[in-house]
Amino acid sequence: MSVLPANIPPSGTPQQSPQGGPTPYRFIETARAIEAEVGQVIIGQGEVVRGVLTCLLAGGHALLEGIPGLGKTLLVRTIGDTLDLTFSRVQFTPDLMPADITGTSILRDTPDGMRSFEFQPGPLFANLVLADEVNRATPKTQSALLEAMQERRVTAGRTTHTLPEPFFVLATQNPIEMEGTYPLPEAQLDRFLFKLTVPYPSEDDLLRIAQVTTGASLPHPSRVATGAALLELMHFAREVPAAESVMRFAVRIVRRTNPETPDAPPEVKRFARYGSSPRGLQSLVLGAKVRALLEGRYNVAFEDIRAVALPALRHRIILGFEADAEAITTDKLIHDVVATTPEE
Amino acid sequence: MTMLTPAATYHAELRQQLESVGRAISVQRGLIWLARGLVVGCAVVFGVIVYAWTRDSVKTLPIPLLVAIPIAAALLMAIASLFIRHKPRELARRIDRAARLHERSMTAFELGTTGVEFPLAIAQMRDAVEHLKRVDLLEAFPLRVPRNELMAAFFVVLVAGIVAFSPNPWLLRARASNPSITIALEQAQRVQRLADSLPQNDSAETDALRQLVSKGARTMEARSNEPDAALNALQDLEEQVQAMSAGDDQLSAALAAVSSALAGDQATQSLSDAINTGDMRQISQSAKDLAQAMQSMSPQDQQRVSQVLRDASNKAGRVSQSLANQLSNAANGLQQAAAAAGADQSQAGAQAGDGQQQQGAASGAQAASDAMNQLSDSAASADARQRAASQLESSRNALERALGRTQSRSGSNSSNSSSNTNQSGANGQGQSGDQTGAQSQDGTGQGQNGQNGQQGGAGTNPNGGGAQSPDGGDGGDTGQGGGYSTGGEAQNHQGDPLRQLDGMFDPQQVASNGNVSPNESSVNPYTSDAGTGDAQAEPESVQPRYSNQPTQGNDSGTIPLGMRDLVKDYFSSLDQK
Repeated sequence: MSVLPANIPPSGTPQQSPQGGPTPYRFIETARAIEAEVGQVIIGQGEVVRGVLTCLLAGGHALLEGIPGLGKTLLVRTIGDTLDLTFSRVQFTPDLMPADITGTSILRDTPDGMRSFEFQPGPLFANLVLADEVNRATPKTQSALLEAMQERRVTAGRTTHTLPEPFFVLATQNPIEMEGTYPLPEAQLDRFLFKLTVPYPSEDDLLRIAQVTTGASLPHPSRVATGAALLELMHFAREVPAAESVMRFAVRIVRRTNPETPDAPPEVKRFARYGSSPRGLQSLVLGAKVRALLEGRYNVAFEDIRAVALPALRHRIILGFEADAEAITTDKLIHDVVATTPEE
Repeated sequence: MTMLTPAATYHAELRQQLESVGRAISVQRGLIWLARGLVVGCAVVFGVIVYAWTRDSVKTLPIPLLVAIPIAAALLMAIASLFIRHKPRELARRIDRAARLHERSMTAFELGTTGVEFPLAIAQMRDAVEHLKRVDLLEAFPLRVPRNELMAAFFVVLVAGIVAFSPNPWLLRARASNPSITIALEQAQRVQRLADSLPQNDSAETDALRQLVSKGARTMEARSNEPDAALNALQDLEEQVQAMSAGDDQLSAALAAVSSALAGDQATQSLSDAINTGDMRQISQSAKDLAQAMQSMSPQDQQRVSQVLRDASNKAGRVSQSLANQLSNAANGLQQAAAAAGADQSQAGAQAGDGQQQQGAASGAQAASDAMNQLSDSAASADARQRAASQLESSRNALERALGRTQSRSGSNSSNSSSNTNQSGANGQGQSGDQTGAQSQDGTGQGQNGQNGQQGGAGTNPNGGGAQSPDGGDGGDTGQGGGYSTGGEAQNHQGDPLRQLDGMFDPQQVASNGNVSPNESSVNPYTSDAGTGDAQAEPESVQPRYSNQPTQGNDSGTIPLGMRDLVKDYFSSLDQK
């Protein structure tokens, strides 16, 4: 029984809110425009594109994981092209030093003949930072991202430098070829809003990839949103109301990922060592709010919480040895948790 | 005028929409609870049936009640469900789920409750109200047939039906081990057949008797699993029937008294003959025939019959005033008819066709006919009561035998024989006809016992008390001593039956010193004054009484078949004497 279409804004929706701010209609328009532009370059991977977009609109960082050649880097670059934002790319390698990404102070001659240290910003000083193969850098370099991602500022020497707004880190990592890599520490993983798994394209998508990317001309996405507009949409998304029961549902899901919780599912108690942090709950709710707007609603639904549970929580649950032995993934545990958590 | 804020306005609209949702849910829930009430009612009926089944009284359950219980329960629960109040938050949750509104209503309700006014909140509330307006409540809360509940009710009814119509193995086992249960049930059915055989709409007395017997039969059947209780019910019924028959002996005696007077005329001869047979049914029929004949009698016949009836009335007046009144009314009616007819004839020459005189004759004849019809009805009612009493006693005897209680309850019918019958009943076995005959002759009424009926021979005496009638009427006033038994058979009969019957029924005057023993009646209904010496009753006044009892016994089947002719011949010979 379908009483009403879920993703169509109700009739009479004004283009502007009473205060002249963005409306869900405009929110959706912007999001769809970005998706359309990215879709010209990135064939398939709609879920990943939607996930990255959700991270951007929620003001969070995304970690994309997938085997080489699936278009992770291209995706991030294309998004950077569609947004009128400063974009920088950092290829993480084992010999990459923290100062290489945060910036460093260099000695420079002043016009009056003196010499002084001047801070030279690194690639982190951009609106959109692509941290390619982030797990190849040493923990020392990876940790340099910590402050930037959470506090949105960089400290060099005795000086703290604020990063530009908006600031997004879109990192990629390769789940194979683990030799010579440094898995991201939990503290750093926790700072990513979503962890998105890039799947292998379908046959049709592969065909289209072949057709599009081997032709005479490559598509060039146009810019459809500015940084200021993006910031406005980010604030708008945070205002989306959520009923208490929906929030409690999200809380219950996060709590039940923790094996110490009494009502955690048996699978969680058996296979998980640590569950999601409160930051996971924030990610869950924020992601759900953005998704609600993207679906044309002004409120968060249970469905939104369920939809974003996987990308918001999968990198926050640490599995035990038994899970490795039985090939249990965090996705499987989250599925179980979501399926068994009551709405009321 | 107070202007409402947008949030308050939307909140009010939302609550209004939710009230509509509440009504839709109430209707849906009412239907469901109707079905659930049906299930509960069926379960109750099932319990009642199982309870009755364990007591083998399923047939006694009133079907209208079994139907009414589920219906009443269903309606009660449905109505009660309509009074359940809905919480708006719960309504919002339900409509969100039913109409797939993605928590719009719930969120809007919470926003309205908190009174927030930021733009997105107002937009959300407006969105929720718009969506609620577009929801088709009948589609969101369809009036589905509560299939599960109906299936449950169906299965409960099915099982109840199976239980109701299946035999109870425990009861069957109990019956096998205790045949008295079966006998109690059979006797209950027999009593019911008796009730069915009683004429309907014949008279108020007969109808009351039929209802009484039918009710008693149902009670017996309900208690048939406890034969003692069934016997008690039967005894109660018997006593009630006897209470209704209180005036029957008086009627019999009065009829016997008028028999000789009625024999004097050809027109009333058949009624006299019927009275002599003692069969109330024949008496009733003869009275009815006479009533019909009165309509067409000539004035001379009317005059003559009027005189006969007046004589009979005078004789009956000593015993039964009601019979005397009926006869007197009939006589008066005939007298009036005859006088009117005579006057009509005398005036025939002068005023031919005087309507008043003819009308007087007709009304007189009609009055006489009505009086005789009343007599006929009284006799018919008495006949029904006699048959019922006899049948009930027979059933009681059978049930008592099944329970091993061989004593007769004739004492309840004839006070002067109660102590003696207990004595004979206490023996339980082996009493010969000779023995009983000897007891009968002593004039104390010991011969009337059911056991003797079983033992044969003496059991054919239907009127143990009757033997004592001449000495002052003790025992004979009721005429039912219970000295016969349908179960009685002649195979153990010892001695010469005629000799025993002679000993029992040969009318004798028993010497009396005027003192009345506790078990004797001090009043003889047949004579005006018994005096202090020998009985002073005329033989003619008591003779029909003797003939009456064996005739009744024959008719009611209380005298064994093999002995009926013998009894009839004996009393016919007495009549001839």
